[in-house]
Amino acid sequence: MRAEALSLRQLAVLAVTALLAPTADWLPGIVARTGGAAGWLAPVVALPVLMLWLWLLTDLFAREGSDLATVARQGLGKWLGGGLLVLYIMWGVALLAGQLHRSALRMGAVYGEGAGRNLALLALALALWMVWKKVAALCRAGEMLWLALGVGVLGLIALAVPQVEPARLLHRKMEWQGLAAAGGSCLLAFAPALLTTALMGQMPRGQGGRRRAWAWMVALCAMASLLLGAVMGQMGPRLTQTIPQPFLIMVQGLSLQGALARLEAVVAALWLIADFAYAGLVLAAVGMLAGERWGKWTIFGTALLAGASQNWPDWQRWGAVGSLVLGFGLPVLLWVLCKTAKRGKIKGTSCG
Amino acid sequence: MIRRLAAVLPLCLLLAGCDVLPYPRELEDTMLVRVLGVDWTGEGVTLTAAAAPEEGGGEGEVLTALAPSMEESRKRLKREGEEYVALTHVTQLVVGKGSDVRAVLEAALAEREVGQTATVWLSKDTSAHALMEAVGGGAKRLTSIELNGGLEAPTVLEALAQLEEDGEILLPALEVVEDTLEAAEIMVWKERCI
Repeated sequence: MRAEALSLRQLAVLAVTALLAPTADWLPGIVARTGGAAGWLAPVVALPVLMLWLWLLTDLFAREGSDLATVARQGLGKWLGGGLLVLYIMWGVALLAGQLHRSALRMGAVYGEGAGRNLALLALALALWMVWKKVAALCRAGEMLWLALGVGVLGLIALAVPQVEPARLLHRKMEWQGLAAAGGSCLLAFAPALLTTALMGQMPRGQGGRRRAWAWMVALCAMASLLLGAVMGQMGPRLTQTIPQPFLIMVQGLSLQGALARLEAVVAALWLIADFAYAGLVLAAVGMLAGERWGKWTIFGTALLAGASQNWPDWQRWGAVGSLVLGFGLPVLLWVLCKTAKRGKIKGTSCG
Repeated sequence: MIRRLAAVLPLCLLLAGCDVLPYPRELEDTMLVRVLGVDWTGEGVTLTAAAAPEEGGGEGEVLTALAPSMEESRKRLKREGEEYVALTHVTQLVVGKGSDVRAVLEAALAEREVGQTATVWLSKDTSAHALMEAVGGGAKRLTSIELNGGLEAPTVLEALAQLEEDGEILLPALEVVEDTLEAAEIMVWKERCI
């Protein structure tokens, strides 16, 4: 294994750690709004679609050394493929700016507005520093970050169980029809996992890669569902959709026989790990997509643009549109293209 | 790159202002508010704060502040005391008669210091201010009622969640009987029929 080689585990862990950030900041409000009392089941509903998506991605990137940049160029040609990569980079900017904004709000709710904004930028600056040198270092760090955040998530869920009122999670008037929409918002939140495919050029393909990717997705959806259940089981769907930081308010109520109380400051700080992983994943991906020559400029430009324009409200919407089109639509299109193209015309993809 | 970052990071901290650094406070110079009374009426918000009882018996200090909004009232309350007034340890929230309970609960939840963990009580016949003044704060007695009385008072979050789901809440009420704070009954608070 080369020094720069990345393992599937490292990429999966980085993505899961990163995606816990929107899970805490964005999902509780949106799934409560769309799914009502059943909203906490949204990740479970989204799981089959996500599994299918992973099956398609692992098929599309099965060939050794292929990544998003090579597959896009080979599938759509040099110019069209290149244009698509620019779109992916812009999606990266939108995602990063959106998450920075949410992170600043989360930290601001505990530490004050100014401090919140700067702590969020601090995580971005550290991610920029890590990505600048070697992506492999970021991915190795990701394993440790996951360990810290994973233990934190399990602890939170364990502490939250006694606080949950089952009646709030299993309401008599369950609004099942909204659950599909809630599942859809989960798909949008988890679509940035696609950015790991930009780094897959450095990942040796091994046996059982698909199965392991599936296992990580199941783990992510289970964690997301339990965290959402912890939030909505404590405050009910209506309150969850009206208050600004439902996740932190849930954490505020956790205690262990009075021994631990007011954990929100610690947990908000712990979630900076997820922000760091998110920024690292996006920056590393845009760097790879831009290629060797422009990589560092693109990374720096993305961080600068996202940091400077994080308060622009439309980033959230463009990030969601990008998740739908670039996260799900285009991979399907690329896969169909390479399946239907004549054998030999498209090289470098598994199905060529 | 490292040198550049080393130059940028302190700038970040400076930009954050002083609130990024923890501010040390001596416990002896801090008034830990235990019970917070809120009267939310057309005239404004009256906050009444009762400190934790001092060692060796007797009730603690009582402070009052009236202002048009919760935020301003909180600021004024902090200026009233001779010591630093900390609202991080509020364990009981007493809502006065005729107050908009929903507004009180939402303001408490939004308030960083108070948070959602305090239990919510109603004052049966008077304002929370009058109730607490009559018993000299009542922090010790109220804790005793909560621990020994077998009354389940909901926390701010539980009360607000119940209000959102059902449009009404059950809250334990308090009254003064012969200069002593007593638990009266469980009262129903409905929206728009204060």
